[in-house]
Amino acid sequence: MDNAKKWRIPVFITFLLLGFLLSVQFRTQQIFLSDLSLQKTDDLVLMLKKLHDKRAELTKELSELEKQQHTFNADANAGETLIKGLRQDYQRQQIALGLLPVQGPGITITINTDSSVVYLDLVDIINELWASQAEAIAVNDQRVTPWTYIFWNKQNLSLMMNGVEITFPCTIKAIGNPDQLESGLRLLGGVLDHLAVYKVYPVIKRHQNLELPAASPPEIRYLKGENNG
Amino acid sequence: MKLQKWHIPITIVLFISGVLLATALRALAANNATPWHQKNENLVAMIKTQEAEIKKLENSIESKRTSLDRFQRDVSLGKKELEKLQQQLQKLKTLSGMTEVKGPGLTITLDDNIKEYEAAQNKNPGLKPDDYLIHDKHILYIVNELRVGGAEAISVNDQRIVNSSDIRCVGPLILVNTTRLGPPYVIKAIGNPDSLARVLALPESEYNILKMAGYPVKYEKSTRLVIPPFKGSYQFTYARPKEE
Repeated sequence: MDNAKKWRIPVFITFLLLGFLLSVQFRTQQIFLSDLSLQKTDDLVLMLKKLHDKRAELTKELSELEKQQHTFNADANAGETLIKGLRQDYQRQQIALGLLPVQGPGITITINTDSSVVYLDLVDIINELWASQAEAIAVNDQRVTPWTYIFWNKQNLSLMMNGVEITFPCTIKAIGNPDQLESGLRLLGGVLDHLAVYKVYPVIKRHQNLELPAASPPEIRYLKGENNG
Repeated sequence: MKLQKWHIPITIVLFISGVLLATALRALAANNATPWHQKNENLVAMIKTQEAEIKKLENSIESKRTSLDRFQRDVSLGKKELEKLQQQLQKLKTLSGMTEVKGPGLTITLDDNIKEYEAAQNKNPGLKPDDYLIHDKHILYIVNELRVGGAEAISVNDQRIVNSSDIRCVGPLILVNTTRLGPPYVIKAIGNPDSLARVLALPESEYNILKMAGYPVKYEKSTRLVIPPFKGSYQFTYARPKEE
């Protein structure tokens, strides 16, 4: 009994020591496993090689993406140039058709009396203005378009433009070179000479800036272009 | 001292402890600078550098991909806008005379009144031919009348009449779009053939006046006319879009 009790203490101490050593050993082992520097050199070399390869691959990928973006940027620039050109062309067509409000220098022709003016006189004046390089024309703030027609109302003998009565005093506005526009009207044997025969003396004024309204788009029923059949 | 029974297990345990202690110490010693360790240190440094570089590359690739993706979506949006713009422009060009157009309509033919002139000259030698010729005004007024009848496209001797077309004469020559034309004058108009003909039949129409005066004029309705494009250009030096 006495003996049995005696050996318990050293055995206890010994096992305690053993447990402590085992745990230290285990911890060391853990460090061994997680610390790269404690790995086998061959493994490290292999790992380095793999990383090197991966890096090369990623670099290639990045440079391809950059190239793609560069191409895209160039395309976008070309696209922007194209769109800008199209917009300019579109605007030009709109001005040509009288579908855009415009401003610029020009002249106004005011006819104060309607006594002897017939619709053909207005057709003549507009034709003469186009001949003098007018770029936009409006009669009483009604823009002249390729579909503009000038006629008369037989019932009350009034003048009509696009079915709207032309009231007097009537003002014709034309944008263009004011000198050229005026001298076109004043040509010997021209429009003004012809009107003077009927005692009509329009007042011509030059302007630095005239504003002309837009016409509404025409209703097309018979015309077919190249692309729409 | 007598060898006790418990001495043997204690000895074994102590022996194992000793071995373990020795390995642990050796391992600790290995942790400290040894040549083998130093060599790996360089490798580890290289690996760490590579890993950092890879991380950076991965980040830039990710952001590049995001921006490219956004870009591709923008481009396809731009393409749609472009197509729409092109369509609208094409429509305007059809209206402004920049393209060949087709449709039903009417063809008018005007010629100088040679027969009457010769007959009159026989009676009255020295008579000027002016009153027997087709003049710029005749054509100008007929073009206006065709517009009254709803013409959507007009040409005179294949010169497309556009908004800014002028019809005038220089001496005996008729100029349309500043191009010289000679008789016979063929005027084509696309529109409703009946409404066009109705205007020509009005007593005050220029066409009717010429006909009454004995000029050789005629018109013909047609279901399919072709009118060529305007060959000039639209350039604006003075007119600019109105500023808002």
